[in-house]
Amino acid sequence: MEILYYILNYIAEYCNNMKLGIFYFFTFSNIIAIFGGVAIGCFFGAIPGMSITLSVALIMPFTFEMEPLTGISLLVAVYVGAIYGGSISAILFNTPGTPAAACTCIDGFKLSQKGQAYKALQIANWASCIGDLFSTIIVMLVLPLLARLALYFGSPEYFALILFAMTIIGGVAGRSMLKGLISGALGFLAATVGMDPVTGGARFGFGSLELLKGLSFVPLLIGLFAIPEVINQLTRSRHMKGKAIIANANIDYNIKTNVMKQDKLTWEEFKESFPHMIRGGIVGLVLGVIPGLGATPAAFISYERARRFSKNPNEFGSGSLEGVAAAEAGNNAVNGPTLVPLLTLGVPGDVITAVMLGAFMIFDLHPGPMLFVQHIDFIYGLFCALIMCDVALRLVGSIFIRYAHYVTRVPTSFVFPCVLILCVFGSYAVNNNLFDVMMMFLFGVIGFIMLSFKVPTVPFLIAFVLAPLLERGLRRSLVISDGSLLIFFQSPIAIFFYILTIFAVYSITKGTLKDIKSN
Amino acid sequence: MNKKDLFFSLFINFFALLLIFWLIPRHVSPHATALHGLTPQVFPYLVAGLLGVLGFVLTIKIIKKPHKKFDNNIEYKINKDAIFCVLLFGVYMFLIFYVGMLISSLMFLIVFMFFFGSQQWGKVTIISVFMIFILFIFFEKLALVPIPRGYFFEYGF
Repeated sequence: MEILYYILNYIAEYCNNMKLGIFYFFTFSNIIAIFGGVAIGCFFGAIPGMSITLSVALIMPFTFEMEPLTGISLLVAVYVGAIYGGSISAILFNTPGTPAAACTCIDGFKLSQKGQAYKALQIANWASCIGDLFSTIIVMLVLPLLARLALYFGSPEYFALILFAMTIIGGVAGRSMLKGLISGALGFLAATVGMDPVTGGARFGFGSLELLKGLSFVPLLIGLFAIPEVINQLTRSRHMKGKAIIANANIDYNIKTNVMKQDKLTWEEFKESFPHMIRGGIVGLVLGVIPGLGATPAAFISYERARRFSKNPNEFGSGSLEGVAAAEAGNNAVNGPTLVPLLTLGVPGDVITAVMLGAFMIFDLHPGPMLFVQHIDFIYGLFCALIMCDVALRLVGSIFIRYAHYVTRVPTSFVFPCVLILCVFGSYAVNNNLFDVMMMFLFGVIGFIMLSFKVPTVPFLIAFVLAPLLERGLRRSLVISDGSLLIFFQSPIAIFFYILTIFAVYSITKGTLKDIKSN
Repeated sequence: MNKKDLFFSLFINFFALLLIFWLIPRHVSPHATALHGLTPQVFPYLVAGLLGVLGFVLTIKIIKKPHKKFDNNIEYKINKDAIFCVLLFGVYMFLIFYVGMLISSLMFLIVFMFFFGSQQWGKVTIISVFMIFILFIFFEKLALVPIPRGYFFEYGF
């Protein structure tokens, strides 16, 4: 009886909060932000070399003058659009616009070659929307419950959690674990620049007032991700003597006529692919919640599951609509779930949510359980934004696919200098300070040098975001316990995360050793 | 043995030693009134130590590794185009201080588009002017971000 009362009370509270969220969200500026963001995301995502992180980072400075919900909605919309946009160049030119779209290439490009590019783009659009919508609805129902659990987190629990989150670095380290860890350590070091958070002592200030404020997140992000890619794309363009268009120098121009053929998706084809979209939604939901995994493994696992359950498994790999649907549903379905660790615990699960965490801080919002207490209208407004993103993706995407091949034919010699100028203005706009622009260029050069030595830059960023949280958790706990280290081992929640950390380190080490032996 | 990786690992070792023996003692405040023994230097020393260990392990790993085939991948290569790009950034930054962000960005856009392969004067000029105009309207007029004018325009020649 008590359980029933609790459930009914929860439902009533949920409906009341949802009403608040709907009233908060449905304004003209938020709707424009969603549709505009999805369109921008689709545009950037369709351009190979423009990663999702770069797309979100470029738009971030434009959100500073907006209301928090509008700004965050815009960034989420760009994220959603960019994940889908990657499928466009994957299908048309066998060049994934984003890493998550790599799986879509397998069957998408084969369909293009058969003259079914338009059909493939349509199914990709539907799958992206349905997969994402499914996982977002589940997340919306469960998230407030998870936030209540997060209220039991104190400083020692946060320290243990951040320590576990640091294992994400192992997951994004790429081929060389050592280089990934070195990159993470450098990010940790960059995070110490400024003033000590407890004593106020100067760290690596070098006599500069600007450095004492600490390194600004947005210029560092733009520098690490955008500048190396700009240099890389422009040197490639010069290597190909300016003839390189974005997608591929050896494009079969006949594909353009295939897209314009209006070879539409039929109801039977949609019905056949629908179960794979839902399955992809489930895969994306599960993998999206786990820190460090991201959209790419979700796409491949969803594809593999679809092949197993399909009535036509032999078609996979040679142009299967079901394959495209599964891959796209999987990779888009992580959008909502990746926000779960960020919103409930304030811990980013991947590099995109690490960027979002920076955005939250710029808006003076502190993700974590208290966000559900102090800004409940924002949380439920964000839920509405996530749903609206899928509606916008369906509408904007269906228009975009008709003209997408024009976007992917724009020469890199036009696009990337413009991207560079956006980076400069964006970095300046953070604090109206040219010092940030200098830092952006400096970290851009550092990022390029790192990538030339095959040292990944993603661990650097994640460590930069997590390190201050780790240090704060450690030092606050020591203040509470008056210097006793026992405080870290007294909480069952903290011990749980230590066990998870050990398990994560063991899995990553085992995987790395296995790779070394097989090589 | 991959020479590039070896160079990187040795650099990391050197950087770790530089941090431990020079950068941290000189540029991180020791702060006498440390709380529970955690001075501002503790975390930097921990990171420097970690870097040193990782660098050492990487060096040993590279020395033991068999010779790798030459990597002729053109991605992220430090070649003369990349170096020239970086020099152009330096010139661009220098110009921002003196002629302001708008004029230097316009000049930089045109130069970069031509340097990296575009040969269409008309399109380059139109796109550059349009881009700068849009950014000016958005940042200066809508977002009220004062774009730097540069020393020459603020203080006169």
